Amino acid sequence: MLNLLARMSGLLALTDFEIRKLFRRKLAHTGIIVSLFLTVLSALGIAMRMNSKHNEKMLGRLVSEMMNGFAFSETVLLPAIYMLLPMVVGIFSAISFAGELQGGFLRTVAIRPVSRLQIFFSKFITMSVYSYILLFILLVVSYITGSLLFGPSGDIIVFGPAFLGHGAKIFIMPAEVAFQRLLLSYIFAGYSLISLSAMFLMFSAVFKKTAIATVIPLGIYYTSYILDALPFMESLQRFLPTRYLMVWKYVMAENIAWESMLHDGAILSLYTLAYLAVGAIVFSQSEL
Amino acid sequence: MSSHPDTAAADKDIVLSVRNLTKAYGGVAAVSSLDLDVKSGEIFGFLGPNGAGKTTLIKSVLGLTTPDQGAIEVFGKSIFSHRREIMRDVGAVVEAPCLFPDFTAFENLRYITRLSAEIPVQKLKDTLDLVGLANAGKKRVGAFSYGMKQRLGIAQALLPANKLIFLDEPTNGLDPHGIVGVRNLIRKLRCELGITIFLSSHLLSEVQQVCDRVAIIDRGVKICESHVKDLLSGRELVEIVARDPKDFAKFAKKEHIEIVKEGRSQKFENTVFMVKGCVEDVPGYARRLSAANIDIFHISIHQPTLEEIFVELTGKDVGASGSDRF
Repeated sequence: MLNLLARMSGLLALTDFEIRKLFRRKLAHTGIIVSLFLTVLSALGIAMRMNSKHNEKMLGRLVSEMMNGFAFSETVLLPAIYMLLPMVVGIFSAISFAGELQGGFLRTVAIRPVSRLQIFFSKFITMSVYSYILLFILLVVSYITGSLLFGPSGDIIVFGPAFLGHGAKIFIMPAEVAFQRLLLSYIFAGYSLISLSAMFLMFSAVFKKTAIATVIPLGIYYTSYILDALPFMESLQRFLPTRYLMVWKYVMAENIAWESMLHDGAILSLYTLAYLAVGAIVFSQSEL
Repeated sequence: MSSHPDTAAADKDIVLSVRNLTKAYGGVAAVSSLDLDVKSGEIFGFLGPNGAGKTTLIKSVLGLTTPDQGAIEVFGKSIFSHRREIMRDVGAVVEAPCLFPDFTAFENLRYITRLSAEIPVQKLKDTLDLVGLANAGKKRVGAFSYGMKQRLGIAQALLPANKLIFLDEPTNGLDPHGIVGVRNLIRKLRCELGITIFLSSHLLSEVQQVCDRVAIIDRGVKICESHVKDLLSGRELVEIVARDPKDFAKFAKKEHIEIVKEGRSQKFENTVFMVKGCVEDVPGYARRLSAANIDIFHISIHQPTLEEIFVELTGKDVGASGSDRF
């Protein structure tokens, strides 16, 4: 019991150190800056669309009538979680692990009475915390921006195909459930980022070079998405790591598809555990 | 890798005991069947050319790499089964001082050492003072010179109250003032704090000036382990410069005096002979040379430097991969 407490306290001290390091680096702030940039550009794009001559068309009208703080936050999440945040979290995971391995900084830490597993998992916890901080900032900033520009709340128009793929319909989500669904989607989006971070940490432990540990998982991630969208790839698609990544999208259905969510969430957890296990084992055997 | 019950680690004075350590990379032995003992309170010099296996040994002892074979005991406990416990009393700077450039010197000390134990702020400040960085505590390490980083690296290796520290090439990249500073610091650590220091270096003058005992390693094999004084005194020669080198060579052959080597004396613009002998032999040689009517310009004892012994022992293997021999 005492041994376990000592290990937990070691892990906490390491995680505290990692979080301090992450936020002391200017690099960590760039993740926040690009999230803000996305929010501002998206707000600008929607505002321009509402005031353009296309306003007469149905979509323009829908946008101007149904856009509000909730809807804007949800709209911003889509590109952020598919493209921007995986890139930011992935690159930072590789820099914080492979970069420190390469630069010898991990050796300085490993000389202390801490285990390799503690070092590895402190990195994972730190990147998980960072993922949620990025999402929290995105949620708050996008909601404030959307509220100021389009009004604080109201019904949300959900473009089903964008969230749930072909066959899903466009529907109106009532204001009473919109906030709850918005929060849930951000919470589960964080889970997707955590899984991605585990994948980047695994590749960092295997390759030990920042450039390789960034390019290979990013390549796998984007290739999986491309293959996931292509027809005639059905047999392969179920094995792609991105297939089960976006569990958050189910909360944007008219009725939450809990069964599908649980199924995808369980497989995603298995993927995450596999990334962590491989990464931790490889790192434990590595020379520092 | 089991611990050896019969090792010298049973001796309370021995803080580090390495037995039959072997580590290979891609089939090439970096360290081969190496045995080593470091006693409490001593400054132990670990010498070897670049690529000889010095860092591999240190990394194995610190658990940064896993050896293929052998036993390592620190403070009488196996590093393989008691690493966490051992590392509470061991500090090190391996290869280069890798500190976090975005933190100040004080923050680096505080957060790195907190992984071992909570240390009072005053002790952190005192340690910065000890390594001459009292005024640089609030500066970002990214703006530090290499020498300052080296000193901060040593400071973190000392905390919380480490009894054994490993310094891997601590004067690499330092200017002459920095070298003198680190040398004085190492002496101070041993004399004032009683810390055992394992000093790896290829700078022989450094080792000669601060170490009590040395081990010389070459291509992964220990070729010598001795007290510095013994190593130097056992290899004295008598240096003779005669007016006529040919006459001296004939005389030496006739008198069975072994000429170890010949060189050129810049001072006397003549051949200098190194013959076997110690300080007590000098008057005898002088008398015999005089009796044989051989004129000499100079006769004295020649104390070889550690550098000469090192070169003699490690040889001159042209083209050996990984080393700087040529």
